[in-house]
Amino acid sequence: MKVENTQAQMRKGILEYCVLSILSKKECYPSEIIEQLKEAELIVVEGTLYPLLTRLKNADLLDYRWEESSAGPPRKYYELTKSGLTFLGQLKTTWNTLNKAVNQLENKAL
Amino acid sequence: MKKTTTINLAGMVYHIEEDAYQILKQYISDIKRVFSSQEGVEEMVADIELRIAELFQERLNKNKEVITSNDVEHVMLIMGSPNQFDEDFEESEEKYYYQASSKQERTKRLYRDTDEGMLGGVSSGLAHYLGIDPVIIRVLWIVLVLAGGSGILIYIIAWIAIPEAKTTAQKLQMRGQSANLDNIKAFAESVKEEAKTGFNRASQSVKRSMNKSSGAFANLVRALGRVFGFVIFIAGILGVIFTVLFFWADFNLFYINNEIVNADLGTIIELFFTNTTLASWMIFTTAIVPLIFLIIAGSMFLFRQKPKSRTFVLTLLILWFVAIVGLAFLSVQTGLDFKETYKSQEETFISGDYQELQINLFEEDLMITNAMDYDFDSYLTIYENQVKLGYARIEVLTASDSLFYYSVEKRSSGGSLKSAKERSEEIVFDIQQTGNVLDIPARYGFPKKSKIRGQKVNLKIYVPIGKQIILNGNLEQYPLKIQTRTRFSSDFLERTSIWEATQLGMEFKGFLK
Repeated sequence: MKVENTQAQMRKGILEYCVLSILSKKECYPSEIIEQLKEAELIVVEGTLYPLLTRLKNADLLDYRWEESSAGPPRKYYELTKSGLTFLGQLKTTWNTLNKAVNQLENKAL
Repeated sequence: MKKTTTINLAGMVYHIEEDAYQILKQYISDIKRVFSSQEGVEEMVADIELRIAELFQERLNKNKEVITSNDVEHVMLIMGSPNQFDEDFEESEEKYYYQASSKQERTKRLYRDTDEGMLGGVSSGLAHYLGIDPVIIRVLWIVLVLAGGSGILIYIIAWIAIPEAKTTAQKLQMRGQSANLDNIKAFAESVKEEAKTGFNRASQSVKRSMNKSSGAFANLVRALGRVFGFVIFIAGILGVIFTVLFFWADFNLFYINNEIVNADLGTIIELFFTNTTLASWMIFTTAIVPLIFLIIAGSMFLFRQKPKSRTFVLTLLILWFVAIVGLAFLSVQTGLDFKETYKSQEETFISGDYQELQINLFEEDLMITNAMDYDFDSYLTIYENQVKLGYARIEVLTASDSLFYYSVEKRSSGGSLKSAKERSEEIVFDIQQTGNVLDIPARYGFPKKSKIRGQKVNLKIYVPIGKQIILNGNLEQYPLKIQTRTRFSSDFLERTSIWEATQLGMEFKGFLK
């Protein structure tokens, strides 16, 4: 059993949650999301974000709109849809539960 | 100084160096391939291109207007390799490692190598793909061609199905090299070298520089290839000579049990096929084309030379196919000529109150004294106008009558009952009777124009009860059947034998002293 696999599994779910969470605060274009995720050290290579965005969009959790940019190519701003918001809410509950569970288990003296 | 090209990335124009462009193109097509199963891959790639454009934008300024391979590699580092994109890929370890380890092979594509190829470049292309010497593949083709000719068909299919490596990038891809600047340069160098030296083919020198380690083995293979080439070259030439002689000279090479059939192949074809001229040309073509290919293949191995004209080879191939198809058609047509069978029967009574009947078997006006010398199953002799095919089958039976008699059954096939009947009437089988002696021709014949259509003759000799029959000569091997009272043994026929008819069949009385 490889630790990388387990780590990847853990990260995968959290990454989805984080992306939705970032987008719930304000609509972003991919570079902005990447910046946030990098800052939080959640992704190593930028490419990781794109399949994820595609999946979330395919699931109708995300929508986007185009905006011209003065310097460089146009930007594609992503935002949460209604169902994306609901989805995020559910994830949040689960995350809180998990978080609590982990903390409780780790700190509990047996 | 480097050549640049322009690309449109997310609606922006970028000047990019050629080699950088090749790397970027490969990168994007790799992403597409890895995610090809995912829905909306085009849109995803468009998003990625957008990001790449942004990253390029960051690296360009007033003093830097062109994207170099450095820039592309930097961007690729930031974006990561397609395998790193999706954590799903890391879940299945095997897949991940397979992708990583086979990265080199994955970029290899199957193309036809017309530069190095002899014909359509199929062998050479396959050799690149499999990483072996093309000689091995060519030898395999020839083995396949010789073992039933399937090689030719497979080759043609491969020729059609596999695309030709036209561009330098494709040629490099065919060899499993990525189209980076160094490789393109090396390739161009070798092409230049070829132009200089004249006889050394470019790709060979590229290959030599690529796998020096297999040099000794390659030399051995090449030497073997030459020997092999020499053998098939000579075999092809001899084959052509003999085939031509078979068809157009009275060259008798068909031995059947040491007896020469005195006819050339043309005559034998004439005896079977309805449309003789067409059939002989088709059989000739069917036979000669593979032999010409042998010569061409042999000379390719021997002189390491391409055939002069591909059109010539293609024409031959087409001719060969037409001939085979035509031959199949003619064979079906000929087969239909066997559809109906007609039997004619004629009985002859021998008048006179004889106690015994003597049977003499003749062949070429000579009495057969020892039938051991003949092969009775497949004996075909062709005369000027007549064909003799096999021996009449003779049966000796007890007659219910008081007179000796015999019946001749002539049998032939034909396309219709009418033509079968006509053919059976054309069969020549003349029995001479002088007193109580029957002179029977051992073989039956028919005119050449009736063609071989399963003609057969059965002779039945009936012996009245209490009377005797004398079979002259050693007929042990002759297709002779005697309806005996007790067990029959061919030993009874080893010398002139006397038989007597009884109620229950013929009885062996002894040999004539």
